[in-house]
Amino acid sequence: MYRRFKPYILVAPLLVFLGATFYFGLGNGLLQSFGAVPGALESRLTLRYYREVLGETSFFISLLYTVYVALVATVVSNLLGIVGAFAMLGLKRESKWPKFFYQLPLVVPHLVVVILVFHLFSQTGLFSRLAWRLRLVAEANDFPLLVFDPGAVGVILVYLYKQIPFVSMIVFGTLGSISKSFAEVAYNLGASRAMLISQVFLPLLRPTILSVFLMTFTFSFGAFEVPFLLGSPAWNMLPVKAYVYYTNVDLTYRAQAMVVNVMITVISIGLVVAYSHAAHLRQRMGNGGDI
Amino acid sequence: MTFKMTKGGRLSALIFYSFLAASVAPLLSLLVLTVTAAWPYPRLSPSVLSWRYIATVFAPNRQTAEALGNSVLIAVLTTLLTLLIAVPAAKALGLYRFRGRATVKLLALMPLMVPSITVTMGMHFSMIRLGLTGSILGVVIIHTVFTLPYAIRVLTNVFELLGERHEVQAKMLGASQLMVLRNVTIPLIMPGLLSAATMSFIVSFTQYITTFLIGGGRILTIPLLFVPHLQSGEIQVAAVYSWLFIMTTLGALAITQGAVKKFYKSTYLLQP
Repeated sequence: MYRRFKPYILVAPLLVFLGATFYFGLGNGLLQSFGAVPGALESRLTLRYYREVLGETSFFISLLYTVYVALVATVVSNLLGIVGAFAMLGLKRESKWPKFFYQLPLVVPHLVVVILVFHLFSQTGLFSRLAWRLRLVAEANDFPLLVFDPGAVGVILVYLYKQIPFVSMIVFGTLGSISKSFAEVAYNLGASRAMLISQVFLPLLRPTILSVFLMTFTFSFGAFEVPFLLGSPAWNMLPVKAYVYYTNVDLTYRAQAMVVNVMITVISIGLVVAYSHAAHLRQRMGNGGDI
Repeated sequence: MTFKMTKGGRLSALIFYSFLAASVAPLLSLLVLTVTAAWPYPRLSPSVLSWRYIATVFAPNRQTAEALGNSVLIAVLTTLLTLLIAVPAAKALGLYRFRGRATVKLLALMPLMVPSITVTMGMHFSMIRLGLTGSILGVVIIHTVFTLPYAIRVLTNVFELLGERHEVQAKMLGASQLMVLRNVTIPLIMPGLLSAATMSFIVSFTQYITTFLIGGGRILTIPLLFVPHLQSGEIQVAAVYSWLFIMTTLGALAITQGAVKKFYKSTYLLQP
């Protein structure tokens, strides 16, 4: 009898904890988005706040802007990260310390990277000084605005710093598990290096790349700190928009904040579900390329 | 026999080391900033060096010690709570096939997919009602929500690789539950336990908005001390805090790595 219930007893603390915190919070947020903000709004649930928030063009501008930032950061970091992984594979000597330092950005917190980017790319930053030295700019104001800018270059740079090594490490891990004999066979059959990468490695890496892409995208899509600190004051990414609503002294704005939060969550989870569905489908069609 | 793409070796090295430089050089530049008193535009190097900002940060009225103490305390408590919940759950997920296993796994990993600000705002009201805002316990609870998925993932893998046979063997030889736990299970999962602990520590140590909202401004941690300096452009002070941050994180990593090495030396079990 005990054996049958054992797994359930073991997972009970986890489920109770997450139920009382995470899922309760999620449910509570959902209720608040329907107007059930304790001590502030109507007792009946209403779609009014969805209509209000989704009716504003500013919401859609924010949404598109968030997608833009997250997509650029993700595409560039994934491309460069994959290049980095192949470079690691091609290194002649197995070198432990360089690899350790390559991973260093993984343990550098986002907040610190914010400072790095500010220090390097602000109008009085190191690159501006370098441009002055090269006579590209006459004064600091001539240097393009790269932090707090509408193009969100600063925000994107923070994500690149953090995500390129992350993507590299994960892709490198999969590359290591791909049998060397694949490469040897292709090589012996006369495949060039470029063909080896495009015909053998990349197809085998596809599931890994897709899941890393999704991980990095959902993170950049929902993260708050970086756009809050380095974003343009005039252009809010969705998490910042939610925060602005939330910290309004008028408590009724909390409903709006929660509507934005629900939208972020639905999009993030939607992407993950769509991905796992696609992966499942591909596997069933026997075309998974999984090893 | 090893296969190496020697032809592209030089290009690979070029790419790899330029990426490496882009990762490390900015951090070193930040280190210079911590001892900079004046660095007028458009100079490429500081004009006046001094320990002033380091001294400022560690001055008694700066609350740095209090914040560091809180940060470490919260991170340690979060790590303990995380392991306490994650180890049994990961054991069930890694060793047993039971109805609802896939669902439990999904439920446990969900906090990775939902932005932390959403969850924190949703939990805020109930935390206020329970009197947990502005307390260390409240902050530990909210951090644990976000460290759990990492710990579950790492430890589930460990249990999957390990299997149940060692425990069964010990039990057949007459060991009690407690003896099995202390002398078999915990030593076997130690490396995974340590890596889950490091991750939890780092994730908790670097939280900002969750601590800010749930701590209600009363619980001061290093990220909370440091963000205002960032916003006001006091970049030298922020640089000092950054390095304090990095050193603490690397310190935690070094301790873990050391512990893993010592562990492997002291035991013949589970040679990697």
